[in-house]
Order: sequence, then structure tokens, then C-alpha cells
Amino acid sequence: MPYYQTLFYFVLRISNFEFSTDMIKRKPLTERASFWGFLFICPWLLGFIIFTGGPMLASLVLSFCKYDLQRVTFIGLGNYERMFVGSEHAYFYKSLTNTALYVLFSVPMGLTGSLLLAVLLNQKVKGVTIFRTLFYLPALTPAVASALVWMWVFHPECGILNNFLTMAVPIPTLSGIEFRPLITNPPQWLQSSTWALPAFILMSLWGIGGGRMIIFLAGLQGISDEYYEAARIDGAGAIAQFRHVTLPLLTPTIFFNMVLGVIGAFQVFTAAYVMTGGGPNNATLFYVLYLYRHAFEQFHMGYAAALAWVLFIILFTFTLIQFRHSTKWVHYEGEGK
Amino acid sequence: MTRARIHLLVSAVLVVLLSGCARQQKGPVTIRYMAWGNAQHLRVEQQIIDNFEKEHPNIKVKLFAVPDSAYHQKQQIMLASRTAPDVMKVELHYFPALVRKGYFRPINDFVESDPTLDLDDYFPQPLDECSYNGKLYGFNIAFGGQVLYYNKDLFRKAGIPDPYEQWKAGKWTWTEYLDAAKKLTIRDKNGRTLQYGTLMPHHWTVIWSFGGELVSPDYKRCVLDSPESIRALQFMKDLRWKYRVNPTPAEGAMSAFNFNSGRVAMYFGWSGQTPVILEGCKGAFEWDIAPVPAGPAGRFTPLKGNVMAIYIESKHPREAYEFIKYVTSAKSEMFICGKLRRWITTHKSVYNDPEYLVAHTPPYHTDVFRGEMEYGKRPPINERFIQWNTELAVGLSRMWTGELDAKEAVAFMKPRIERALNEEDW
Repeated sequence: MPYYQTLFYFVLRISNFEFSTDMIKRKPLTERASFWGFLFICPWLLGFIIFTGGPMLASLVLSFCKYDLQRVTFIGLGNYERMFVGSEHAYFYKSLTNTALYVLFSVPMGLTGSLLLAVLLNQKVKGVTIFRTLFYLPALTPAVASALVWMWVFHPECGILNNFLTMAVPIPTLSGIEFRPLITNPPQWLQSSTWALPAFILMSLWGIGGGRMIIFLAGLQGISDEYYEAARIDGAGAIAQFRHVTLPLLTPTIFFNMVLGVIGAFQVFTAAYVMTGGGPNNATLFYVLYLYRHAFEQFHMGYAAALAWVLFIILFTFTLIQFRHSTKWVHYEGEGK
Repeated sequence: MTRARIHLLVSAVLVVLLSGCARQQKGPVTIRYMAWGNAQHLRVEQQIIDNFEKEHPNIKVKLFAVPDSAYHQKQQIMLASRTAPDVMKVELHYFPALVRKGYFRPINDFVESDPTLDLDDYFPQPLDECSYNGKLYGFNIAFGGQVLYYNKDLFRKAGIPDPYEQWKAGKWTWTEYLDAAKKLTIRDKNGRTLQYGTLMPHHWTVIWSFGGELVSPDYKRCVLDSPESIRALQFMKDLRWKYRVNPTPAEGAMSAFNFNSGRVAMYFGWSGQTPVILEGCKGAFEWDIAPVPAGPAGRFTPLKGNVMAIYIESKHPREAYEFIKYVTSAKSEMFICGKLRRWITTHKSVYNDPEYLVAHTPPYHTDVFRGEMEYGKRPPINERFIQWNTELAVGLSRMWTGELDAKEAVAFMKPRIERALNEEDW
């Protein structure tokens, strides 16, 4: 669970038990367990208030102001109005649409890819540890460096992707087998406003061998062999085993990866900033890139703070929906479902 | 300790402290200087700083460079957070917007009380660019215009006379340019382009030479919908999509076709780029410069500089003034503009000096630099330039990708540009 949830849980536990009974017993302050609990978490609590909680509150206040690093002027709902119906609404909805499309396609594909990869790496094959390391390497490459390399992969003339697509392959025709390219007019990828976003979605697939795969692997290894044995005895083949044993027992891990995956995908930024800077005709103007532009290129800090809070509310809503819906399909072990 | 000893000790300490203060005032003053540029530009800057420090032993200049792409953001953040250096180069695109916020110190008082400064020696436009509301905020640096860089070897191979020779013969217009570009675009049997005739000229150059304009003089309306402007923009679009002498954005992505590689015959660049091209080609081919082609309304090239300004809260404004005066003095400009061929001089004395035209490395056609002053035109830059230019760039890019025609692109751009021109700062 996230750390603040742990803290709250801890505080609640103390307050429910020791705190109330200590108060009733009228112990002096230094003898109450709650006092010592708070004292020990004091350093973290101070850090949280100063570096996270305080700035968050300041950002909320700034979202109702106009702030350009020189003067703060209160303008009420002006930023939100500009965002939803005002002069910036076209860019706002465009960036939201781009990001939503990106999330819609990259998260399911990424989850499926990571899961299949994890299943593959869970096999008892010789040298599987080397494979696991190799597949994890993409997660270790710096984001900017890999974005630059991907720019070359997507180059319409010299990139390896288009070279592969226009490769001459033997095609049977009426006059015999001819060597013709698969596709004569390959998409212009990052230079085309229709193919730039698909390019980013394709690029996100190279991250399937990252942290998500490791977590799936851990989840897979948590499924005891007894279930598989029982399934085999009942005559289940590999695919049936996967459908009826692996997947249900893996649902908590899938749920975890899905929640984090959605939150992460909504914040796509580095690749777009490096590769297209918003894309041909705003085709790859993602939400965080749009926010960055207003905050650090045009110094509309209040507006950017408002954008950040709108993103927070969107993500909060999505996560809430996912949590509520999870009771229908996530099976936690030991709950007797 | 006796009372006498204590008194002695205290006075000794005070003497040491006060003498330390006095020494600080007489010691060298350090001013910070922020500039952009690649490694080569910075070497030149450092050379100038070393020469300056030799002449003014009590002033030390600390140069810190910021990469081009992050320069303006860093500068704005430093200005807003009041940590800006004493002297900084300000790109003219951003200057009116920044000077309006009161970030720079006017130097009129220094100029008036300086006997060694001759304001009449400066051309009017460079000083005009550094002024705002009647006050002068610095001297002009990196002043220059656009010229045509061309690959002599490719022209010779194709058997076409030089653009320079054509200009000298009196006939160098967009017609001759297009003709040359068509002959210089070579494709192989599969249709893949091996060599392109030209890269895209600057839209200011083309629009003005056709008789058009971008914005009204009062910066309130966008006048790109005049027939001349639309003709100019259509000509630029046709270079790429009708005559195909210019790489498409897809083909030209990531500098696949750039002048230094020898795969493009003509390139429109600022005159300050000559050392970059000199180093980039590494003598692989012969190149030189020519004026930009003339259009139906004449020959025009954008001519602009940048401002070397003093931060308003600088603690050493006088030393900063001495530094900016030195960097933009006639002597420095003879060295930078004459020998290194980086910029156009802002001093009449240097301009008229024959030494200014002597060239030991390419480009040898130095009279083109003189010509820029004659047909150079000041670009329309005001406080809202960044905002409306962004809208212009979006509209133009829709043309460059072949999506829209000039008329449609202007119809798309015009309301957006006008909104950006007239909007309040927010």
C-alpha cells in the first residue's frame, strides 16, 4: 500500500486502542504509546509536510491565482474557466484526448505483453536467469537516450522500421514469384499527424520487460504447484491451466499493475518532449507536456497548477473506479471467495 | 585579561577587519556574463574576455554558457528569481517582452557621460533594436542577416553558373533560383533522392520579396491574407510539393539532408553561421555565399541583432557597461566580424574599412556582407512576438507537411495570430 495509507492505518490503530485507553487511564504524556509512535515518525512527518504536503497546498491555492514568478494575483476560477471553456480549451481537450488514447491502447497491450513475458520467463529453462536480466535491460536505459534512438528507428527514410516494412519479399503473382515490397507507402511516423501517436504507443511496448514484468514474475512464483497438479490431474492442458489456475490467482497482481500502469501512462512526457515536442499539429501534445509548456516555457504557473489538480482529480477518479470494480474480479487468497 | 589588554585586542581585531574591507574595494571586481553558443562560439567569447581583462585589469569576467535549447527558459527563471548575471545576451525575439518587465538597466547615463563613446559611429538600426520607450538598454550583438550559402562543387558539376556570378550579372531572382534548384536535385532510378537543390528559405525573406507583409505596423492585425503574401507562401510550399526541390519534413528529419553533408546545394542561413559551416564541412567541398534571390518587389533579407543588456539589480553596472562597450566596440567587431566572419558590424567605421572585406577563409564574397545592410529589413518583433510567432509556426508547418495550401493555411492562421497579437498577458 502507498506510504500515506500505511501511516493513516497506523495512526488509526493507535488511536483506536492505546491512545483512548491511555487517555482514560490518565497516563502522563511520556508514558503513552501513542506519544512515542508520533515522536518516531516525526522526522518523516516533518519532511512530508515541508516537501510534499505544504507544496501541494500551495499549488492548490496557486491554481486560483495568476502567478508568473513575480506577482501573485487572485483570479478565482479564471484558470479553470480558461481550461474548460476559455481560450485554451481546444488545446486542453486535445491534450486530454491524446493522453486518453495513449492510455487506452498502451496499458492493455503493455499488461498483456508483460504477463506473457513473465510466463515465458517462469519456465524452468537453462539460463533463464540470464534471459530475465536481458529482458529487464530496457528498464535501465535512460529515457532520453532511448527516445533519441527511437527517433532514428521511426525515421521515414532511413529508419529500420520503414526499411523493414518496405523490404522486398517474394510475393506470388500471376506471372510467377516476384520480389516486391510489403508496403510501398510506409507511414511517415513522427512526421505525420495520424501516425505519430501510434508510433508512441508502439514505442511503449518496448517497456514491457520492465518493473511490471518482474512483479508479474513474483506473482507467478507465488502460485503454488499444487493448483497446477490438481488441474493436470483433472486433465487440463497448458492453455486451460493458464485460464483457470494462473489468471484467477494472478488477479491481485494484474490489478496492482493496472492501477499503477494507468497512473504512469497518464503522465507520459519525456518521449514526447524529446522526439516531437508536441507532434505534427499537436498530434502528440500529451497532458503533462502541455502542462510543462505553460509552466516552464510561458511561466503561467497558476494555470499549470490548475492543470495539475485537474489531472489529480482525473487520476483519483480512475483509481477509485478501479478499486470499486476490483471486488468483482480480483480474488485475494485467504478470503474464502 | 586587564582592561588595557582587552582594549588592545578589540582595536587590533577592528583594524584587521576594516583593512580587509578597504582591500575588497580596491580589488578586482568580478562580473558574471551569460551567453549562448556551441563550443566554438564560446572559445571566441573567451578570447574576447581575455583581451578585455588585459585592458581592464581591475575587472574580471566570469563566463557561463547555457546550451541554446535551454537558454531562454534559464534566463527568464534567473531574471524572475533575481539571480541573473550582470551581463547577458538577450535574443531579440524575447527582448521587448522582458524589457517591459523592468529587468534591464538603461545605460543612457553611462553613454552621455562617456567621452570615448561615439554614438554616431553606430548604424541607427542596431541601436534602435536595443531601445525601448526612448531609453537605450545595451548594445547590439550578433547583428546579421540571412544569406544564401551554396555548394560551389555541386554547381560546377551541374554546369550552372554560381548564384554569386548570376547576381553580379544582374539576374538573380526566384526564377533563376528555382531553375538552379531543379537542375541540382538528383534522384536515382528508384526515385530516391540523392541530392536536393535547396533547403527552405526564411518566410520573412520570401514574403517581403513578393511585396507582402506579416502584421500591420501597429501590430494589431495580421495581413498575411494579401494576394502578395499568399503568392509568396504558395511559392514556398510549391518548392517542396510541386517542384520537389526541397526535402519534405519526413525526408529532412534529423538533418538527413543538411548543407555540411554536401547533399544540399543551397542553404539559407544567418551570416553568423559561417564559422559553424566552415568547421562542419571540414574542407570537404568548396562553398561560398551569395545574396538571397530577389522577388517581384525587390530583394529583402531579415536583418536583426540581439541585445547585450545589464541586469537592473547588478552590483557593478559601471564595470558591466565597460564590458558591453568593449565587446561591441569597433576594435572587437573588426576582429569578430572581419576575421572570424561571424556577424555584420554595427559600426560605420568598420563597415567602410577595406580591411573588413579581406577574407583568408571562405566565404570570400565579402561584398555580400556589405550588401545585407542595403537590402536588410527589420523583422516585426514586438512584446507578443513569441505568442503570435508560435501560431504562425503551427500554421506554416501544416503547409510544409503538404496538408494545406497557402490560402487555407492563412485562413487557419489569421484569426489565431490576431488573437495572440491582441490578447492580454496572462
